[in-house]
Amino acid sequence: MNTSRPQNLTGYVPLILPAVVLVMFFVVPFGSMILISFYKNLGGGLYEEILNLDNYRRLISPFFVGLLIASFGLALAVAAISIVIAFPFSYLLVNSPRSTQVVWLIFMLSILSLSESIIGFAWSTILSRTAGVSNLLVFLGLLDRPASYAPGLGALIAGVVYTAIPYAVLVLYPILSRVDPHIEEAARTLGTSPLRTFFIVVLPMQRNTIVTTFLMILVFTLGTYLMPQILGRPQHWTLSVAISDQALMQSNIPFAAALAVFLVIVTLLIVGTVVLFGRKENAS
Amino acid sequence: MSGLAIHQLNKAYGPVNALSNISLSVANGQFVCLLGPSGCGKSTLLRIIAGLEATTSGKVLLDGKDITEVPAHLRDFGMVFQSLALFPHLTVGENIAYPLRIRGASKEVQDREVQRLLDLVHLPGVADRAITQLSGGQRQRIAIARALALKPKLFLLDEPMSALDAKLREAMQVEVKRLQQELGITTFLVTHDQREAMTTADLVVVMSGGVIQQIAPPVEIYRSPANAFVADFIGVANLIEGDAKAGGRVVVPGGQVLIDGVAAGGKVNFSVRPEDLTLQSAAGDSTVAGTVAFIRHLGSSLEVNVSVPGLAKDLIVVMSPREHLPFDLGDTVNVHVPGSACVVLR
Repeated sequence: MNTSRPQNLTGYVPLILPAVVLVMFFVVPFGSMILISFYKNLGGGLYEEILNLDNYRRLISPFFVGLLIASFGLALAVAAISIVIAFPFSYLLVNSPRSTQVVWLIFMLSILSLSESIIGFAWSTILSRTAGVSNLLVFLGLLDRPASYAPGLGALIAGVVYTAIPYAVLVLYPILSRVDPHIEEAARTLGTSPLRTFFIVVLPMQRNTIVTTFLMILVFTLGTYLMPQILGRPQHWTLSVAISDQALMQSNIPFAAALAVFLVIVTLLIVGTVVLFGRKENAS
Repeated sequence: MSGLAIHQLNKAYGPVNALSNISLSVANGQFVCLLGPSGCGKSTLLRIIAGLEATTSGKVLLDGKDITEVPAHLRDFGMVFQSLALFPHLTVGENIAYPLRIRGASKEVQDREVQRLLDLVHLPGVADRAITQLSGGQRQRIAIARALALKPKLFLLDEPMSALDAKLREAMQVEVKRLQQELGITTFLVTHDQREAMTTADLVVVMSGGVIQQIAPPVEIYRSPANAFVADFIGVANLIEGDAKAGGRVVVPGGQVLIDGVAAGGKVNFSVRPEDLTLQSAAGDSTVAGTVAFIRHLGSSLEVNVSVPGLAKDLIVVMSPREHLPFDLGDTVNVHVPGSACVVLR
């Protein structure tokens, strides 16, 4: 890879377009969000350009901290469950015939093409009392009468995990498919049974990959605001739901911006801590 | 009997036969080279011995016990892979100690064994390094040390030296051979490099097309190849076809060769090594006439190609570089073919 800097100013010309796009669509909106979070709300979507800390004072309350905790609780649970499902799945996929791999990857991509609200309503139907799986369980004699599982925490987690798994698989698959297959064979000739090889060689070898994928799903899930409203009860609503509520229903843009900044900062802190921790572990 | 024996082993992938009717018996402590071109089945045979590949039919016996169905992780053989397959997330010491650790050896035993094995492969003091901090040759030694950690009954090497540069490869071949002699461990080395086989092996198994062509000690493989394939694959061979006449006279394109014991009548194929041939100006009773087509000085030897009308390939003659060559390109020469050096091929 060529890492030398351009010799003169004309060398930077190819960077102009991406730089402009980045500034226009990333730096400017993000900067204005931070700025607006310090403005005074006038109601009805209007705000006065007076810098103050009222929005941040209001947000440090048990209610919003509770929402933050709920957000991270949901995100951690979803990330953990997704990894537990996606990692063995990707591992089996990599070791299956080429044609099987193609079919599954196309299936994963097609899930990505579905909108979040369609997936949410589909799950709420699947888990409903009138048309859901409980009717099947009754038919099989496992239940006395149909039950409703949505809305509820289980339904919420199921829905978000369903949207997160394709992302996890698409991150894990290329990494796992590049691993030298002889490493597992070496483990076997050294006395490890195939199942044990998975747990004491394959998993530890991919620790960094797993952490990265975990973080990606964590951040991805923190931003979900439709699923909690479709599949969750109000006590499962996350900070993202509060942000959309403040911005769209209450028309309190400055406070919504303050909540978003708050979420971004806490997320960065957590991701930063994990990355730092991982680096220290590697160094030791 | 003690040692490894393979009985009428076959391996098929769908309609393709990777190995056909392989039978082989190796006494304990021998160094065996499975030699052949790529795709000849030598790696498959090694993987079957390791238990990584199932057989279609046939048996693998170790010290008289049938181990055909024993899974790889219960065979306790040490194997070194072409890619080395070191565990990237473990240090050098942890890699070597791996087979001991998973069997529940104490930390002290592990450390002591790591020391012993690193000394054995002449790399002391690298136990705490990461695999990525080692050079290719050093990784090789670590892979060998890891495979030997269990004091295995069989030591299996699947072309581990092929990725090294020529000098390092030669040095490693000598080292592997020394190590094997020191430990007296039965060893199987897969290679397509005949020099490697000649350097290391007590017994060479030449394979082609999933079939064993010849099993013999290296010198015998070179001096008396069993067939044209072996003659051609091992070193450089001049393959000549002629008509056998009375008195051991074989009429070939460009002249005749006297080979004792050849029965008159019919075609005879024989092979003769380049270093056994000499050039002379006059025709003799066992010479072939041709023209000098190419001369090259290789430093340690002088090689002359002689084009003979009626022979598909030039005859190759190798002589000492100190010899004066009284011929030039295009000159007519007679190649003396000593009958005693000719190997009649079936």
